Amino acid sequence: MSAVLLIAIPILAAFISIIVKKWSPYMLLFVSFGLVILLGYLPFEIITIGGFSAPYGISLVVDNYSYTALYVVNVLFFLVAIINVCNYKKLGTILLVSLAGLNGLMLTGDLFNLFVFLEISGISAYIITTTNKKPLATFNYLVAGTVGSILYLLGLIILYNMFGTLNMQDMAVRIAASGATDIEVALPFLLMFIGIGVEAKLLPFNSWVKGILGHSNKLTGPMIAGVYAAASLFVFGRLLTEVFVISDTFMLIISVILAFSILAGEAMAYSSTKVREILLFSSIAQAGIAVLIFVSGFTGYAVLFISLNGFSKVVLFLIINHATEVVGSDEVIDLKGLFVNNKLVGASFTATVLSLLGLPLFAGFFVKMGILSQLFSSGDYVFPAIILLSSVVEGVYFVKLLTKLWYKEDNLPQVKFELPLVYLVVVISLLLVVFGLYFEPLHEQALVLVNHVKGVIL
Amino acid sequence: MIISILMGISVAFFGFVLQTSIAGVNRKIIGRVQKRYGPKWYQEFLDIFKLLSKRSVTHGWIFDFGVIMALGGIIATAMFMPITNDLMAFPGFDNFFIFVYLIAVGMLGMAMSASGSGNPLASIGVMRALTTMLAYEIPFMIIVLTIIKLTGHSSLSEIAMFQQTAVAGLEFSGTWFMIALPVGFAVAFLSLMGMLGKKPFETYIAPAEIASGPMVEYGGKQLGMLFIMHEITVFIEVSLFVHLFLGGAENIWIFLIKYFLVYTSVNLISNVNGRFKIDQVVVFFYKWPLLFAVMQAFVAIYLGWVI
Amino acid sequence: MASLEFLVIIALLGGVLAYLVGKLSKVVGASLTVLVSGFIFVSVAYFGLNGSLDASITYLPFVSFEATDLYLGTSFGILVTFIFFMVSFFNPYFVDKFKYPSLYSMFYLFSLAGVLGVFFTDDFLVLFFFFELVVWTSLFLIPLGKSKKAASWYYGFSAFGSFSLLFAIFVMRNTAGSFNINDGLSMVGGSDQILVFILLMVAAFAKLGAFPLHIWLPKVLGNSPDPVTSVFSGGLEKLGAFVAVMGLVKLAPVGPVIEAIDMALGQYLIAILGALTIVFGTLMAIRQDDAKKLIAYSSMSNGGYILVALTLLNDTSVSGALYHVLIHALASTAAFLAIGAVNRQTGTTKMSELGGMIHKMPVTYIVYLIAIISMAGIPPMGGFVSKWLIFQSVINEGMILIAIATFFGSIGSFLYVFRPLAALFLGQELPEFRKVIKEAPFFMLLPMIILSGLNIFTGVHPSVILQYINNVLAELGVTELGITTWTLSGNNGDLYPALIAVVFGVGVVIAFIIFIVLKKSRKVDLMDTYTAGNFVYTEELLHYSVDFYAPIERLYEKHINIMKDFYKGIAKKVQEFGSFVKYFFFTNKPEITVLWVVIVLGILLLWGDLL
Repeated sequence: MSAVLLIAIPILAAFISIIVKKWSPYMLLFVSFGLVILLGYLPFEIITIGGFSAPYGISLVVDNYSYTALYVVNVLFFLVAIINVCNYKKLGTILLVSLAGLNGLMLTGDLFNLFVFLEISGISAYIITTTNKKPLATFNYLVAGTVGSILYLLGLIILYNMFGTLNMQDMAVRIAASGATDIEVALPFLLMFIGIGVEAKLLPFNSWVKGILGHSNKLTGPMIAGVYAAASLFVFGRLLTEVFVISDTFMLIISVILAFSILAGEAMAYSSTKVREILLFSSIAQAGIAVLIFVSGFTGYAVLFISLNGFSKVVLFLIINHATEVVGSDEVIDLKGLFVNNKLVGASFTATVLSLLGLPLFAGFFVKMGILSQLFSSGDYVFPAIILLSSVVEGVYFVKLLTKLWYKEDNLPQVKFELPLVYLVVVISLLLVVFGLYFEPLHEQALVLVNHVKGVIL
Repeated sequence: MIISILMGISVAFFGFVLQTSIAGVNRKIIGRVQKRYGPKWYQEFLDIFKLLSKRSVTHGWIFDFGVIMALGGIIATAMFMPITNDLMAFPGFDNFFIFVYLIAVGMLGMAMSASGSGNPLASIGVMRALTTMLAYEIPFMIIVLTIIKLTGHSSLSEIAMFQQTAVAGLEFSGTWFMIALPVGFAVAFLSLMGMLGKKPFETYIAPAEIASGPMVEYGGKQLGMLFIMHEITVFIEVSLFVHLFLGGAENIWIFLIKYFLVYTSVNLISNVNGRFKIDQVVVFFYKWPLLFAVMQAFVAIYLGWVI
Repeated sequence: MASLEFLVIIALLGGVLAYLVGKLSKVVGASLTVLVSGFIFVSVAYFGLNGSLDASITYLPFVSFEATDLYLGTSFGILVTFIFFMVSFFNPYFVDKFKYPSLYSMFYLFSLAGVLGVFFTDDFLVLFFFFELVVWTSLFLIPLGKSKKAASWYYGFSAFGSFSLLFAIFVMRNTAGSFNINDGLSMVGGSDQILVFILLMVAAFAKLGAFPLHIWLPKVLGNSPDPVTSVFSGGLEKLGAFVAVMGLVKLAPVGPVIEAIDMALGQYLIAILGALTIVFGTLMAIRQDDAKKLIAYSSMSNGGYILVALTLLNDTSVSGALYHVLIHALASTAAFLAIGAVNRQTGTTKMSELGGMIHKMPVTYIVYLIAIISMAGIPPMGGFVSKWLIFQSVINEGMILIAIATFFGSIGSFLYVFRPLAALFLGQELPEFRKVIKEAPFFMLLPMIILSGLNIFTGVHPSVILQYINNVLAELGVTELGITTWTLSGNNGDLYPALIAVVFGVGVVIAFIIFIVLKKSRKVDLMDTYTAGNFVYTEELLHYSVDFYAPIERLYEKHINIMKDFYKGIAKKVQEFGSFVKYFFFTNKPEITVLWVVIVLGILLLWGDLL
């Protein structure tokens, strides 16, 4: 089976679904489920499209990295889709397009092609977020997203001008061969960094997040905070590890942005009183950490971190957004006592949060230890300190949130969770526990991905 | 062992008799100071035996149990007290800390019994007693720390021996700490007044104010036992002072003289004073005495300036 | 042979089982905690004392246990599992008051598993794993009580502490190349060593609730359910002491040596902080109205003693510190359990609302009395021995300022421990409790009586235990304490604890004989007291329990909130920072975002040019 199918099938299905609108939700489910299955048969290869060989044609790369990324994104996508398919029937087509776009993002080995997929997935994201019924926020997202992709394009043009290639690996080779100084390539990289940074929610380019996730529903919340966030971070990782040459100045700039992103993200979450805002600001900080790990060169743990984070955010947003829809408010005070009658959901929520905080018996612990261990090994004491400090703040507001959601005497919010959602969150949180106890597979995966960075591709 | 214990009991009894007589003599002396005759010297004995013979009331088992614990604890403490260099029940185990802490059992027993009486005045008295204790103990302990650090012993008799004879090679030995640490002596003397509950630190008894404080509910044998306990307590505290600062005693007569002098001077000074309020007591002790105590300790331990 | 791995698994599985059983019957689930913790205590104690604990690992991934040099870990392990076992007797009686009873039983045993892991491992990462396990499992026990906020305070400080520990662990790993505890502590040097020292101390302070990281302690201990409070005070706080031993004794002293007192600067600073802890805890304990908070602050000040003693690094001080760990665990657990028993019977721990409990709960009273005698360091209880050892070393080093604090804390403890005794147990018997109150049930009394027995035993015959502590000292490389069967030798004198007890007994017998031969007293009512001519008919008016130490409190009550305000200030600053960032970056206008992008780009480009 060819990797092209991962893009082609959803696009094709999208076209068909325009013709037979009634089928679109079922096609969505069928296709996204099918893709998850098909992924199992995906060989590791580099596919060139259009018959031209690597630097000239467009290539799709299937390696350890993109394979993991594809798996995570597709599975998450499928899970989000299965929960929401009945409520948002009209969106079937768009979701199929966005699936194609996301898969493209994960697969492509070509910088310009990446831009195209960025736009495809971006546009479908804009449309998906219209279901929030907050047009202004969507408009903001659109403007910010477009500015981001233009900056990316601008950087790309400069690079093309300098090195005459668009292929990622070829670019890396040529930069190395041309002897260009780090400073010379810093500008285009910086432009591209900011461009992707918009989508990956790095401060200060992410003002759209509050409008979108702050009013998200059961579809957009998990989709944007879970699936899209994971996808954009994977793209970031691809660029940071394979293309970018990071000079000292550039590193300093990125470090400042990331440190600010992490600390400010946690501080903002701490100062929020709305549950959705707490979650979204915390995910800003998490995104900062993920990019930080990529920049430091620990791809394996970054991938694990992003994957766990993606799954966790899906659980958290699903639960909270469902409750918000029922209660009609996402203020912590209004949701107080939410889990008193929904113990199973509450337990999943709690387990997920604990995993997010990196506490033992949950998968998050292992990943966090891995990350810190790698950072310390590289002799860096500043970033671990920042991460640890931010975890303290994170812990405090999450614990506050948990105690509030678990304890209230009377006048409880009347929220019922449907069975599929309950199954989903329980299964994911159980997996977090299982991998927390049995983390050998995670460890192996991390090692595989570490080896990948050492240049398996070329 | 049995001999030692019997010895200890006789020390406690000796203390009781000694202090009760000296207290009687002191009443006479104070009387003369105030231009009256004063009672007979054995008046205190009469009071105690009268009380012991009377039938009294009790407020429940803790009321009685506390009294027993109080007297028992104090007797136990007195049993460890050395009188002269050789006259003591348990040589080598007359550790300073035993006196400070074992005496607290007695105090606790009395406080417990007083609170158990259900009279708020008693509780107020206990509160004041404990607060006063918090005030005077700290400067006192600092001075004792200095002494222990200089002598290298915490045993009372060893400290006394240290002051009695100058031993070659042993720094500071041969002088009474009253002279060697004059500032410390002054501080400790003030603390002793606090310990004995003498004016101006008698806030916790304050007869006109809280009706004798902890003692308010007692009568008959309980009061009599507490009187005994009080006399022995005074014996312990004054002898502690004699051993720590006045070089102990080679024989019993010297002990009697030193004891009498210390107790009488405390009494005389206290009789020209008014009474502090309880928070004034705390502020008083934590101001100059504590400061001087620390100064004395600093000078003596780190600089080695000892007269 | 008992395998440690097996015990950890038992605790974890027992927890799950207790949860499942608890779903069917709360009380049975809670009773299961008694069985499991009892089993674990007995195995740890029996095999630990025989030196035959099996450290091999077959099932658990990545965990490893120490095979040799076990004394320190074993002594802590035995103590804390014992406390867990004793307190677990209370669980069945309290569990029906909790909102999530079966969860309680589960987390109770999970914390126990965590504790086992911390004390017995030889690997820092494993230590951290269990350390954090203890943190989060115990975290969920707290909000089952009165306050929900206490949990977040606890997590904040604990996380700060455990992340410092983690940081230190990784710094040591970078030097030693492995996570081995002894290697790490012995090999680290230079500026890294100072860093590790500071970080370990932060961890120890946070866990022990020492100044200035003490804010959580009274909140948690005052507001948790009663069994949890006891476990925290007697058991989990001791994790802090364990870390303190690592940082102060196992790690080489840090900083230049101060000649006058022959002590490294680092140790001295910790001693100063320990002294502040003592003073602060004492002052705060004096003014509490809630009996649990009062004992909580006393726990804090006792933690200060442990720290001060550990900094001194000689035979009397270290053995004093370790003995004090034991004494304080026994005494404070007994005190908390006694107050917990009162709480169960009356529903309150506020001293201003209680009075005269002694008439209905005499056994509880005696237990509390023995516990506070030990806590105040009065013979013939254990507290005297440990305080004596600590005073010996403080005086021997000639540390005047530290001595002021230790004396102050010691005398101050008379003040505060007496307060619940007077206000809660003694005084007038309040009418609302006169009819309804009974003595606590037998199985609640049992652990309290056992603890009281140990409180006395540790005071009368400490040599047995100090002998074991000498093994720990040898393991830590400290000179061993001189002990004979009955006496202890300090730096400037000997102590004969049993003699004191005997003499005390003789004294009491004499007093009793005097009492009994004299005329019998007539029993009168508590209300039949001297009231200076007033007629008072209500018990409350004759019960002096509100603002007991008002005169002394007045002297410092203006300054009590300094540290609390400081931390609240930090929290507020974080919040303000968050709101500030939100205000500037998260507007509803996309042009502002674009503006930020341009500004950032501009600044960074100019900067890049200059470089």
